[in-house]
Amino acid sequence: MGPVEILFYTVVVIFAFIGSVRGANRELGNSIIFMYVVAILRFADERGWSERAAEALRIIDLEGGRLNEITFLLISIVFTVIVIMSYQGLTFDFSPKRLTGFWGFLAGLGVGALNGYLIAGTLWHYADRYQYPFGLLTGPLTPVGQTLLGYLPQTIFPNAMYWVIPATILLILRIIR
Amino acid sequence: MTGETQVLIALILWLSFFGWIGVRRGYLAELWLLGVTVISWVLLQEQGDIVVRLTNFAGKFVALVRAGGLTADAEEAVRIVAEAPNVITEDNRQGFLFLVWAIIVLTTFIVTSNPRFVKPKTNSKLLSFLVGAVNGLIFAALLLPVLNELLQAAPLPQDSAWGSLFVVISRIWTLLVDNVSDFWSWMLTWPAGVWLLLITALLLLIAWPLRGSAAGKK
Repeated sequence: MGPVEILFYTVVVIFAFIGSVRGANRELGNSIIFMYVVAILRFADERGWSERAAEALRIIDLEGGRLNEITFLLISIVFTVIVIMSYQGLTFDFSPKRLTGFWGFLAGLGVGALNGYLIAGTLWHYADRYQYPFGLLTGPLTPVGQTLLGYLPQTIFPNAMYWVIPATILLILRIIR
Repeated sequence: MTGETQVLIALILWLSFFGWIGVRRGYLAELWLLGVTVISWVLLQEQGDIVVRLTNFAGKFVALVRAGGLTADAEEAVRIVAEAPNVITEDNRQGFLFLVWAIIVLTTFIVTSNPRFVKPKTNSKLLSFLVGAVNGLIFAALLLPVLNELLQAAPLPQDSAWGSLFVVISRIWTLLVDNVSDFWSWMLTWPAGVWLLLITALLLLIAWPLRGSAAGKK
């Protein structure tokens, strides 16, 4: 596999195109959910809850590497289920009105890219934190990868509440009609 | 065919293209664009120092806020402001003023293309074509000297038309990649607050036109 940032960029681009097809009105609903999830995960990290959950797994007497794999797997499964639920079936749309034309396409592309960044960035952050389990990364990170690690959804802001601000503003706009 | 004839044909093509845009947009929109383009260019060339000073002032204010100068005593605040470097220096002054002018022209073009702001006058196609062509002349006069710098960086191969085209395209590509890369490096130095403001502002910009549309659907 190539550098991990290539995978990150690819996911962002794929979600950007999904966003341009679905439209910004639907993608914004997903963004609200993802921003809150990122904030909650960061909130849990800041309070050491995920460390405590990992400690709890030690009762089944796992070695360090296996513990990292299981913790990463659990976080990824929970996060992926939330992502699938937000896209599948009855979705939390921001608005039934669709932005059309060039600017509508661009808006869908932008919000889709943000969603891709939140999803791929969160998974990358936890993969890095749990030392790339399941052989996700075989060699060292490139300098670009090292730089990007400081700009992932969990690391770009000094605390969890930063993601809550745009999510709450959008939620208020969604509720007040 | 002489060189002058080639220049004339190129000019006719250029003006026809702008004339066609004029016909599509209407003469009123083109007149607004013409006025704003010329006036903003003249004002920025003559009084550009005001914009530069205001930008440097804003830069120093940001430096003051970032250094916690708003809560510091007066002497400390003065020291922070004095030590903060100017955002716009003599080296990047001309480029900055050109960027400001380009943003003004682009914004005017987008705004005047919207029928809500300027109603298109489709019944005066000749006038629209002429005003559009005049805009083409103005843009040629203002932009060609800048674009010429790109072509003068190294001599173009004279023996092959494809070679010249390839050199020009590769120079434009290199210029684009270098600038995007520089801009990205600069973006990575932004503090978290700026990222938050940017993300929130962009999301609001997209969400605002969609606001309140569910009520009517129910």
